[in-house]
Amino acid sequence: MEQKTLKLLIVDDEEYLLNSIARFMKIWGYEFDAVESVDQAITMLNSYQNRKNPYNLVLIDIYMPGKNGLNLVKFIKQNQPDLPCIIMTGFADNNSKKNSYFSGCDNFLPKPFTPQELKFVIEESIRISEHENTKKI
Amino acid sequence: MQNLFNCAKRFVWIADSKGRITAVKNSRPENTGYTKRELSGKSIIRFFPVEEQNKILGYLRLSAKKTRFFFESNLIAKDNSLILCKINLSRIKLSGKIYFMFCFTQNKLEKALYYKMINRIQTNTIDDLILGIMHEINNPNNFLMLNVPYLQSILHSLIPLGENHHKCHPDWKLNGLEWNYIKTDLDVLMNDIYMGINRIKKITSSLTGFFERENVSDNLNVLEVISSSLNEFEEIFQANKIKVDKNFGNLCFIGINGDKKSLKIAVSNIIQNSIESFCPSAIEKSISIAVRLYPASQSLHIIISDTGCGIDQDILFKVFNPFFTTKRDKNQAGLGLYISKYIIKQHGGQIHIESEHGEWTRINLKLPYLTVRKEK
Repeated sequence: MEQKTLKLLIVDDEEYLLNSIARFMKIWGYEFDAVESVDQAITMLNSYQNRKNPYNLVLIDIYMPGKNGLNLVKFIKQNQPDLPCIIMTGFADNNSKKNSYFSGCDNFLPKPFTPQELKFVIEESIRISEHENTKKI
Repeated sequence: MQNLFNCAKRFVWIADSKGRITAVKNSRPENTGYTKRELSGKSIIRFFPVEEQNKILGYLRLSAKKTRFFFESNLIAKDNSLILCKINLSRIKLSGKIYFMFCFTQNKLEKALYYKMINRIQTNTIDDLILGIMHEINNPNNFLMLNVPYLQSILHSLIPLGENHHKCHPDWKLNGLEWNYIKTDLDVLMNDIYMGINRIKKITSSLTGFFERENVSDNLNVLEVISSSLNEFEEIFQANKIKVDKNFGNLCFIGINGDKKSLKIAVSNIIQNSIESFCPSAIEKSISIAVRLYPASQSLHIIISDTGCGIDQDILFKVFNPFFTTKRDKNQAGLGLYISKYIIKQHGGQIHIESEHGEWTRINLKLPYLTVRKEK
């Protein structure tokens, strides 16, 4: 059986980090879109093309100019509750962690992280969400 | 302001137009000479007898109109027994605030409460600053952490190409260095970079000790905190054959006002240092924790001593400094004891260290307590 390519949306205002993550997405063979703000992310999520071929996961930074990443998590959980969201942030204190989980994110990845950690969290989140989806069916 | 200076019986400060305190009356002279920037985030608390309340209030209201003082109305107690003034430095293009708390009470308990309040205000300011620094360091460190492994794998895949080229051109040099040297040095170079990245990560993750707080409890059992800190190291004690002596006498409960999680970090950091102080070849390794009460001053002393390698007198005074460590080679950040001291101070306590180089180290934590229960 042919394995389906994963499609990810990455939301971070740090261009350098987007470039770094993008490199690994290419190595791991993931399809991805990278945007720099919450508004751009919402536009991407609502676009016809992406509704037809939806994302498998969203990687979100918390603090960005304009809207906060946690708002995006809330938006996603209201509209596409099955879409796993991973929060990645340089504010690795307990409060940020608590707020992230309260907003509904599936996983919390404190910065700085290694490529292995990133891959592990992505795969784990997708595995868990697929498992939950099959349980629902 | 001059009126206030002349009339006040207790204390008054006078600041020049640039905000620098130039004169103090009946106050600590060390408060003078602070610039606005230096005072940023600092908080000052002073107590007055209740009789002076109206007079001081009047002067403050008057001076609030003329100066940059303004009242933080949310924090004024209902009976006006507490006033929090804030100098807003943002108006003069400087970030930060100075808080002045005027408390009209001579009651010991109320004084303790107000001290706690001002501490909390100060803590929040420091927390924000540290959290901001943490964020600003973590982000760029993430670029390194992601890209260096990528670079390493590319360089490794280029080695066979280099080998082939070297076979054809034995005199080939890169950056003035021979190929054979570069080939073997590549991993050392990468390890050095990883070491740097991990050290930065260790420092920022150690800083989270500042924010680890749960809810402050009025009846936190210190003995339970010590026991749970010791339990954390149980396996390490056994593996390294360290004898642990816990001596609480007949005490079973000492209630203090504090936060369990942060206090546990403070004690654990000290125990961690004790464990690291033992020479692997040492025959006798022992750590003892004793608790003593001093009812006259309502204080308890937690004495943590070890028979480790001790600390040289030349560096003993530096051990509570941030980023001071003798174990840099083991990738230690040098923040453990600094955070312990910070937390103990937050709990209204003090920390003292004594040591004999090559013999022992003893750390004394002094904390105010509220209640005590003894075993019957």
